[in-house]
Amino acid sequence: MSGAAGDDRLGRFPYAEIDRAILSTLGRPGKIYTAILAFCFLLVGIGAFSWAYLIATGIGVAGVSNPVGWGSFIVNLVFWIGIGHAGTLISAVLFLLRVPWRTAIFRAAEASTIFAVATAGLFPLIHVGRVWVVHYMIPYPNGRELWPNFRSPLEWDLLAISTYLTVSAIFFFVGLVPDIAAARDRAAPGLRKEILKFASLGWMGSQGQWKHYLGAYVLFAGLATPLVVSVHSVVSWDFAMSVVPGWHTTIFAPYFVAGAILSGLAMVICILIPLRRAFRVEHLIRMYHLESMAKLLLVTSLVVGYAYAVEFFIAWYSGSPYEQAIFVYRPTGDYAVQFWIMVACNAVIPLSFFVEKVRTSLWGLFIVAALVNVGMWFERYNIIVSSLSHEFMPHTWGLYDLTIVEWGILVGSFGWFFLLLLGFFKVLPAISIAEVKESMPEPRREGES
Amino acid sequence: MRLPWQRARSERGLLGVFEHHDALVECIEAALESGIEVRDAYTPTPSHEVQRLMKPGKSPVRFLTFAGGISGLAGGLALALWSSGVWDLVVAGKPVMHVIPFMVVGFELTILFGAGATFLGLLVFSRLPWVWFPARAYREEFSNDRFGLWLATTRGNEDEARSLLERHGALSVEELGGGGG
Repeated sequence: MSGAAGDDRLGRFPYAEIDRAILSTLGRPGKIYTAILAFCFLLVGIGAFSWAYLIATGIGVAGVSNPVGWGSFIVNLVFWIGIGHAGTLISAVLFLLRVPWRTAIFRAAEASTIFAVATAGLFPLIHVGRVWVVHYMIPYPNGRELWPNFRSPLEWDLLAISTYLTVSAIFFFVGLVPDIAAARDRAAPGLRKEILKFASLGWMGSQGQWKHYLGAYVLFAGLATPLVVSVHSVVSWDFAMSVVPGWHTTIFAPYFVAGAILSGLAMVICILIPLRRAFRVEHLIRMYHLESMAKLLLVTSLVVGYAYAVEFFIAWYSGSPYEQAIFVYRPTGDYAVQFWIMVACNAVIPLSFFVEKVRTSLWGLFIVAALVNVGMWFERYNIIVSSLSHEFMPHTWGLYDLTIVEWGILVGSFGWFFLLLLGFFKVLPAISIAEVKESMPEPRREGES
Repeated sequence: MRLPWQRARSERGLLGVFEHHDALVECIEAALESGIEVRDAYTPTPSHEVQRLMKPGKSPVRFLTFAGGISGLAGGLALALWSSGVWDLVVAGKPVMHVIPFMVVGFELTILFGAGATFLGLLVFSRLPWVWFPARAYREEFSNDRFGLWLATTRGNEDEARSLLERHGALSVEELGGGGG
């Protein structure tokens, strides 16, 4: 599938060693893993309590009100959808481009996608307040004789996110099937083996199976590629289709897609660095992989920085006093701190990856990637909150801040994401066995690989 | 009448287990040249050389993908157009029926149905889930670092097939009689 067999930068290992190294990640969890898992449970508990309090008391316990009707819940929705972009980019786009370094990292990136989108999907439910009527958004024949408004970007968003989650989950599962089979065959007899036997669908790696698998995999990648571009474009249209100053602009779709890829790559780097260390798979996920991701992160950071600059230019060039006012307000007004955190973390600090020493240092990579994640959360905050705070009429202006309930739900979302991710890493292979083997030279008689 | 899997169960055959990929490829070539039926081969990772010898051509899954995608596009546009006409109300000054916003609906459902049909095609053509797992020629090491070659034999060519497998470096040659999984 990868077409990278024999690339020395990926290392050279016998097939059996690949099975052993990757499947050893599924062993009994250690104390640190258990402690982190318990901490994630605690965060989820805080988030769940906060949401339950919001449901019981009413949406008024959140800071959203007039004029800022979209606050942290929509910020978190866009943030988590963005995080979910790197997985499909790495697994589908880099697959079609035959990029050799994707093989060892795409599984973790895909898992990050699925769990980030699953986390994002909670926020529309939280944001509507009355979660028990959320099914009104879904188009189905109903006793109310009502249909959703398909001209609304919010309805497009529902379709885009649910399609993205479904297609990414199918793609993820299909990629997992040969590896579940490998885990099944190495497992000791017992319940776990039986579950893996069921989940592997009876995969045997026969030539008929591989033929259709390869045919289907390239089609999934082909379908997922336009999808990954469309999802954040549609999310951006939630804003761009309105006439709110700072939102009503055609640059939003490519700007959001670039930002999503930037944040997704940053999150994957943050996940991979501790993962390779904790599971002792540094020989499979090498500095070459991390450095390649850092280079891609640098490129997307330049695109995002360019988009920031173009927004200011277009505001000036538009001749619209409202548009110009919001772009003066953002760097100098009530949310100036959030604005400058965004610029520093997303457009300035990643430039340090031009220096080889930074992008080949684990600490350098981790710190820059973590700061990009912080910056991307503030980017969404800056776009959503500052525009709504400062619309056309001065008497409607107002400020917004997160309440403790919103903070609780935000930390709960991080707990939920990492809980799912950690759970996955102990249940199924976090690195693709079949694809890593494929990227190695096949065992040959004239010389062992 | 016996169904295909019942026929497979009662077929005579030999299973060769190989350590080296090139030995497997050479053995398949030799078997095909000498007219011995190559029933199947098991590899831990897709092998383009083995595919070229045994399963040339493209997978028909793509036809299902195309059909699914077209159905999704048509279904998405039809749903949006039809449901807008149920209540003929002008909202926000926008036309009740307009193709441009509905293309987003059509696009998303094209991808959704296309991917669903591809998954269905993969299951159908690969005969998954394989409820009779494991097939009698399958061995657990085939998902690790060994390659399996299943030659269908008759009483007349069994010795020739065995010597072919051994000559090409099979680690073991196992007889597959009638019955079994």
